[in-house]
This record gives sequence, C-alpha cells and structure tokens, in this order.
Amino acid sequence: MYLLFIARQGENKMYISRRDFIKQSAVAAVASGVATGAFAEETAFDPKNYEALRRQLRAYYPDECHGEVKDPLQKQSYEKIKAQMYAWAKANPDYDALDARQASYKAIAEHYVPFLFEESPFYFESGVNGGWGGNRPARLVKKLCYHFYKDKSLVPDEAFATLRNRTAGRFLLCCGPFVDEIHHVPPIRVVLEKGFGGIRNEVAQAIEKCPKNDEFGRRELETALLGLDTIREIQLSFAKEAKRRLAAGNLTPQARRNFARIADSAQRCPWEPPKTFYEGLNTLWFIREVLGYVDGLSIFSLGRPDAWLIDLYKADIAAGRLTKAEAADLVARFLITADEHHDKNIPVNSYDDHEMEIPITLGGCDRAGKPLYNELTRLFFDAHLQTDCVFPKLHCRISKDSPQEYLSKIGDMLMKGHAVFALFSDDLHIRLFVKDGYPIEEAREYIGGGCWDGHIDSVMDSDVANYISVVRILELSIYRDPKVEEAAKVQIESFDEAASFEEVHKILYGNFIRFFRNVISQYTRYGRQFAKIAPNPVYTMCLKGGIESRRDTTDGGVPARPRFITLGFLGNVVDSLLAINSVCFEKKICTLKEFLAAVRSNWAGERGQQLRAAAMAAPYWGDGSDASCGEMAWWIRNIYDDIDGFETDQGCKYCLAIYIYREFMYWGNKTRATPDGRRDGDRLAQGFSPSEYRCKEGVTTVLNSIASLPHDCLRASNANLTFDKSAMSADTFAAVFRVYAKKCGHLLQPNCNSVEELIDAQKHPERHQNIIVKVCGFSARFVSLSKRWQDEVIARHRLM
Amino acid sequence: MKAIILKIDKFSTRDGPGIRTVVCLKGCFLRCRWCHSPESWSFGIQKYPNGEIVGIKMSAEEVMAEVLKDRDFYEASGGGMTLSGGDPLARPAFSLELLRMAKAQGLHTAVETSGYAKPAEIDALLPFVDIWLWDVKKLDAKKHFEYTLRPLEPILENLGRVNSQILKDKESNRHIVLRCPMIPGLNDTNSDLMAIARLADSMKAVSGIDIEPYIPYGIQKAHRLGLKVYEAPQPPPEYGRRILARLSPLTSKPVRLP
Repeated sequence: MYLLFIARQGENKMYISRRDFIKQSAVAAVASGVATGAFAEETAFDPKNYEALRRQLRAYYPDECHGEVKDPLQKQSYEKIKAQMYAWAKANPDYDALDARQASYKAIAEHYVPFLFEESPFYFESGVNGGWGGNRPARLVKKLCYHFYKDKSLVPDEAFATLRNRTAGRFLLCCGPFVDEIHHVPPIRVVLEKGFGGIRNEVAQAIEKCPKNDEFGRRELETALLGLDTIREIQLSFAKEAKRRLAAGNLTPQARRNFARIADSAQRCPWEPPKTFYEGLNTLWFIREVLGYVDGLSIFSLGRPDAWLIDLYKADIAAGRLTKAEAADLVARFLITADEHHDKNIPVNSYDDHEMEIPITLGGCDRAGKPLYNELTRLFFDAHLQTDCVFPKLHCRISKDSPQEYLSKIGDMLMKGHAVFALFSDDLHIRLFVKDGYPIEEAREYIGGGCWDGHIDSVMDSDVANYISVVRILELSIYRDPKVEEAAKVQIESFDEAASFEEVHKILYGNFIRFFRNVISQYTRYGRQFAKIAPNPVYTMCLKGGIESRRDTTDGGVPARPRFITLGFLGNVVDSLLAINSVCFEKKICTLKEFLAAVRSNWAGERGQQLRAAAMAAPYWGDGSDASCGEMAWWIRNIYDDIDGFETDQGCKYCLAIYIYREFMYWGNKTRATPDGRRDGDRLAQGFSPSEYRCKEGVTTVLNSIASLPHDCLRASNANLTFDKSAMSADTFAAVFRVYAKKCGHLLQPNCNSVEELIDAQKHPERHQNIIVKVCGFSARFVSLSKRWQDEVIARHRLM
Repeated sequence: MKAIILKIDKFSTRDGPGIRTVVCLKGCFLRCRWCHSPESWSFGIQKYPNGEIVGIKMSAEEVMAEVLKDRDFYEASGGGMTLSGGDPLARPAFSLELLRMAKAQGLHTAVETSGYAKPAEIDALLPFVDIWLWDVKKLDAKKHFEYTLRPLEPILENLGRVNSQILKDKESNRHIVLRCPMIPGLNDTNSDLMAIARLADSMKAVSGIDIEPYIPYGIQKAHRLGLKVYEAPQPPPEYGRRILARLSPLTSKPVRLP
C-alpha cells in the first residue's frame, strides 16, 4: 500500500518554500503554448455607481431569502387575489385544477401591481422573491386543490404518511409530494425567438385544430391562452406605471432615463421578441419572474446571456444604439438585481438562509460546437467580480477545448477569493444529451440548473430534487429500530451474522435496493397526480411538445422531463464497506460482531479507538485504489441497471445523480457512527468529494478516482474540491479545469483560500468582507456564515 | 531495478513548471544542519517510534505507473515529473532508469539535487533532464563542509559541467535554477549573497535563483528518529522579502521568492 506514503498533508508543507514556481509555471506554460499568460483588457466597474440601486433593491426585497418583499402594495395585491380566488372557489365548489388556474389568471390580471426601481432599467418585479418564498398568487391553486388528493382518492393517506416519515427520518428529500414541483427550466430561447405573443398565436391555432373529442386538451390550451394574455397585461402594466411615474415628475435623471426606456419597451416586449440587448437582458428576468407569478413555478436560471444575447449586443453596438460603457452598466445592474434578492449579511445557519437559485450560465460552445468566450462573457465576469456580487451563481461550462484565457479568468477570480462557480463539463454533458436522443445542436445549448444539473431550455422540464440517503439504510442496518422501520416502510436485514464480506455486501445492497425500488414505485404511482392539483399551462406551452400534446407538463405533456434520483453519501457507504472488509475479513483484526459493537459504541475505549484507526487505514473513496474506485463504480452500475428502462409516470427516463445539498451537515449531525471511522454526528461525504475524515490524497488522485467511474450511468454529479491558495495560480486552475472536463465528472465546485486567511477572517471579519466561498450548491460571504459553517469550510481547506 | 522511495507527491506546483509529480528517493550524502527532511538521509526503510514506516521499496516501473496516472495534468499545464529526495543523484542508476522511462513517455523532467555525485553519473543523466533544480547551500568551502559534512568543490565542478553541457546544445530549452535555502545567521550575509549572485551570473544556463527561507519542519522528524538538526523558529515572511531585495540588485538573473 505505497499510496499511504503519498502526499500526507503535513509533509506536503515541506514544499511550502518553493512556490516561486507558480510564476515559473506560467512562464513555461506560455512558452509551451499551453497558456496565454494574459487577459484581455478588463472593463472597470465602480461599485459606488451602484450603491443607490443596491439601497433601493434592499429596501424592497426581504432580508431573508424565504421572507416576503417589503412593499405593502404587493401584499395588498396578493390579498385581493386571494380573496377573489377563495370567493370564486366558494361559488364554484365543483371546480377542478384547470378551473382554478383560469380563475387565478383572471384574478392576477385584475389585481397585478407592477413595481419599478428608479435606479433599474429593468421591469419584471412581481413580488415573488425570486421563486423561493413570499406569497405567490399562483400557489393558491395548489392550496385550493390540495384536498383533491384525499377527496378524489388520488393518493392514499398511508402513502403520504410514509413519505412524511421517510423525509422526517432522513431517508429522502423530495421537493413536492412524489414529484419535484418546484425546480423548473426557463423557456428562454423560445421567448427570445417568438415572444410570448408568438407562443399565444400558436396556442390559438392549436385550439382551432383541437379534435372535438379532446375536451381536456382544449381546456388546457384555453387556460394557457388566458394565462398568456395575463402575461401581456402584466407587461403592459409596467409601461403604464413607467408613464405614470414620468408624469408625476420629481425624478432623478437616471430614473427618467430608466422609466422612459421602460415606458417604450414594455409596450411590446417580451410579448414581441426583444430587439435590443437591453430588451434581451430584461426578457431573461421577465421570464423568470412572470412564470413564478402566473404558474407558481421556481424558474432556476437566467439562461446563457453571453450566448443568446451576443447578436443583439453586436447589432446595437454596430448601429450606434448602445455604447460599450452603457452595455457594461446594464450588465452590472442586471447582476446586482440578483445579488440583492436578500440580505447577504445575515448569518447563514439554517436551511434556506442563502439559497436564491439564481444562476447564469456562461461560456461553453455555440450551436456549431465552437468554443464560446466573447465580450459579453468577459463583461459578466468583470462586473460580477468588481461589483462584489455573490449572486447570480456563475455556472460556467468548461471543456478540454475551452480558450485558455476563459479558464484562467475563472482561476484568477478564484485566486481573488471569488468562489461563485459551478463548472459544468461540456465534454460529458453534451455527449450524454446526445446519447439520450437530443440533437447535438440542442445539446450544445444546455444550461446549468439551480445548483448542479444540466438541462436544455425550451425543450426540457425538470424533476431533479429527489434525494435518497444511502447511508441512512446503512445506519439502520447497524442500529436497528423497528419503530422507524415500520413508519418509513423499510425492510431491513441485519448483517451482524454475515460470514463473509460478500454476504455483508449482499445484505446491505439488498436493504438499499428494496427501499430504492419502493421509493421509485411510489413516485411513479403518485407523481402524476400533481397534474390534478396544480397544472402549469402557460409554462407547458413554452416547452417543446406542449402545444402538440395538449397535455400539461405535470401530466406528461412535455416529452423531455427526466426524473433525477439523487444518491447522497455514497462515499461513506463505500468507505464503510471497505473498512469492514479490511478489518474483519482481510486482516482479521477482529470479528464483524466486535467491529460493529465498536461502531455502536461510537468507538469508545482504547479498543474502540484501535479499531477506528484500523478502519481508517483501509482503502477509501478518493484514494485512487482499485478497491475504492471499483466499489463506487459497482454501486453506480448496479443501481443504474436497476432503474434502466423504467419509465416515470410521465413516460420519461429515471436518471441517477450523485450530489447532496446541505444535508451532509444537517443529516450528518443526526447520523450515528459508521464503520468508515465516522463518529456520531460527524459530517457526511458530499457528492463525489471524499469523506473529510479520510482523505489525505492530492487533488489529482481524487480527480483520477472520479474519472474512473461510469459517468454514462449518471446525469449529474458534483465534486466540491478545495485548493490550497499557496499552490495555485490562474493557469494551474485552467489546467485542472481542462482535465476535469476531459475525463472527470459532471460538475466541479472549487474553493481556493488559505487556512490562515479564513481563520483571520473569523477573528477580524471586517478585514475579509470580500471572501466568497462555495458552501454546497450556493456561495456566501465567508464572514456571514455561522461559526459551524465557517468551521466546516476551514476543515475542507485543511485537507488539500 | 528497485529503490527505497520516501514518498510520491502528486499535484506539486512548486518543483518545476506546471503540475508535477515529485518522486522523493530516500538517501542523501549530505547532512545539512537545517534539513527539513532528515528522514530522507538514510537509504533504508526506517520506522518511527509509533510504528509508522518511512519509505517503501518500489521498482522503477511501479513508480512510473504512479507518475503516469497524472499525465493529463502534465499535458494541460506544461508539467511533468520531478525527482527529489533525499538526493536523486545518490541513487544515480535508479534515477537514470526513471528519467529514461519518463522521456520515453514524452514527460517533462526536473531533478532537484545537491549536485554531489560522480561526474560520470551526471553525464549519464544529462540527456534526460529538462531542468536542474540545483541546491546552493553555502559557497564558502570550509563552512559548506561544516554545515553539510560534504565538500563544496565537486558540487561546483558538477554544476559547471552541467552548465557547459547544456550550452553545447543551442536548440535545447534545458536550464538550471539555483535554489538557495536561506538560514538566518548561517548563510545570509552580504558575502553569501554576493557569492550566489556571482555564481548565477557566471553560468549562462542558470535561468534564475529561488530563495527558500528556512522552515523548521525537520525538527520533529529528527527527534523521532534520534537525529539532530539545527533548531530555530521560522523566520517571519519579511525575511524572504528582505533577502530578495538584497540579492536582486546583485545579479542579472531573476530572483524569486515564495
């Protein structure tokens, strides 16, 4: 086991005095043609120019990201819509969900209150707080129809009870009953091309052609038509409001300019496709917010502005309609609007404190496959860094063929403490989309979802937040609990009496796969019932196939809606199995019974500590060994084989994914000691990142481990990796990104700081306001993290 | 062919250009007082009192298999393999074998050495080394012997030899970097720095000088193995900057600091 001699953390530091080769490395890389060593000239942004905008946004948006906007008019508007909806429901007791949706569209059109910011040229604000909280009128439909689950016997009470118990029992997490009702892909390109008005025309034509015997389809189309008209009313209300504000006077020159622009543009766009760069940017915001408002969705992206707006930008510049300085100002205001959706200075401690799900996707390639890194990409990078934004998250697509400057620019921002990136591998994503049957030109347009999953906008709907904890099954296999097993309907067999490692393996996998199949079957059985609770007609018509099928996306109307089943904490399970094999069967240090007793005692006493040390000397995920890579690959292949060919209730594919959100901390706190040497309450392993209690390998070994896995069996995965700042440079990052894209997983979320700097930031937060760290799916200012999250981030930095 | 390997460090960005794998061979002829890895002096496998084993016997093929795992990273960054130690020149045959294999695989190579070896052994390695990371410890011959227990003269002769051999091949990108551990009070006087500057300027193949301020990582390891090394606190970060400011004006070669 010579690997044990490689790259021990403490010993690595003997090289700390040799980092001068960072510079030499860049020089040599330039000489060898690998690196450019230089960036194109940066656009300068002065944060002071945006202080007034930030103040206005802050005065409007909630302090907490799950709070409500502060403007009283929005609340009044919601209350009026609510009152009208409930009165309607009372008067029409035989309604169904589509009736309710129609009533909701009408009430929204009647009572909508537009909100404009004097410092912002954009119009979109619907008071739904970006999709993650606040009162959203469209969700009243769900409230009014939720009792159908019971009254119309759509889902038995027992199934609901099991789902609740499984969620409360840390077995799974699903963002909705049996389906992820929250996260949705924005339909951007279709609106950029046709406008909402163009989509309405197609829906109207479809109504004319609708077969007489498809009454349900006709109603879906008619409801969508009403919803699209509501969107037009909303858009026009902004023009009206802008005119009113202009007429009222008493405006700053900036406000006059902004409102004059809105008064003109909101007459037509995005009902008609945007004709300028400004209208294009506004359309990205408008789509995100308005679909949240009318259909109750959480649209999780602002799209690919550098890919989809570059033509408008170039045309504006060429025609003299826009100067580069004006474009830069628009980009800064666009980004800051996302950045101020909640107060980033409140402490991050509980579940949703800093999650805004507002990413933009940058870079990648164009439809022809040519690498995409243009003036707009640079503008978004420069504005994001210099105006000190945490949001929007920057989902950057990387490839083995990405321009060096693009990759180095990301590396440079990381070196400056701006860890806001999720890096999606084009090489893998595009290949997998093509494998799944999407045309390659469409595959090349994919965007990053809220955190870690890739999707094709205007084509796909998503159903991604369905987490299953593998380690919970392991925990219960060791710590049997009949009450919990009964409540969560899991069938567990103990492996204490197993005579061989193979038997342990078989029993544990059996326990897991029985549970897994049951979860899948429940989702398949009941997920589609959501169509009868809260359909999304407008959204459906924006997606490919929606108009033709005349069926809602919740009801299988959109052909491309894969359901992701996301496995959490597989690293701990792999490590636990390898430890059991090593300690009990290969080295025979103790019997399985004694070993499990030590685990159950939380490694108590001298013997417990000895056995813990023995467990931690076993191979582990991330060490690059055949044993650990093989074990991880085995689980992925076998689970994949188990669901391959299964169809969801929507007639789509089930897909496997490997990532986990903040549960690695929260569920870890409650998870008892595991055979991998983890103690009671210790954090769990995130995605493909090795368990922090085991990893002592260098980054390349971890990345090579990930590269060894059968990624074709997965549709998303994540590796959070932390880099020691003293060993890194922009070009070293570029090299790592290139290799990751070429041969590793789907997604890399890098952090780069020095431990000393972070510890100093704990003591003197005022000196380190600008350090931004990637926590899991989201980024936050390090100084705004609670102590336990700060400690977790520091612990990660100590590993590498 | 097998040798005792102290460790293989992956993802090194400090021992040559790009991302590198550093293969540390166990065994060194010098006994530098300030050595930060005294566990690398002995050529054999050792054991710390807690039972931890220091060193492992590996064949050149096994080492190369480990090195090649990171080939993609070398290609993307302009990196490669660096031999270090101990001193790779203390294991000349094994080092030659590794370097040959690396070159056969098209890898960039670097050798970090004290330069204490037989001229013929240096000659044999020369065609397979892209960068020599040449330690310069003390350029006063008497003090050099006192601090390292080995003479300075053969080291300087070897350096001259490598310099002239590199210069013979005008097409070559090969070069030498002088790496100077700076130990407060032992080798950081003005005359020490002037001697380093003169040496660097006298050798055309020397591309630069690296300053390596003293780090006390060897103390604890020496205690555990019953050895003795110089014990001093780590100098503050300004120390390195001051050396840089003093040395840079004395030489035409670039001087770098961590």
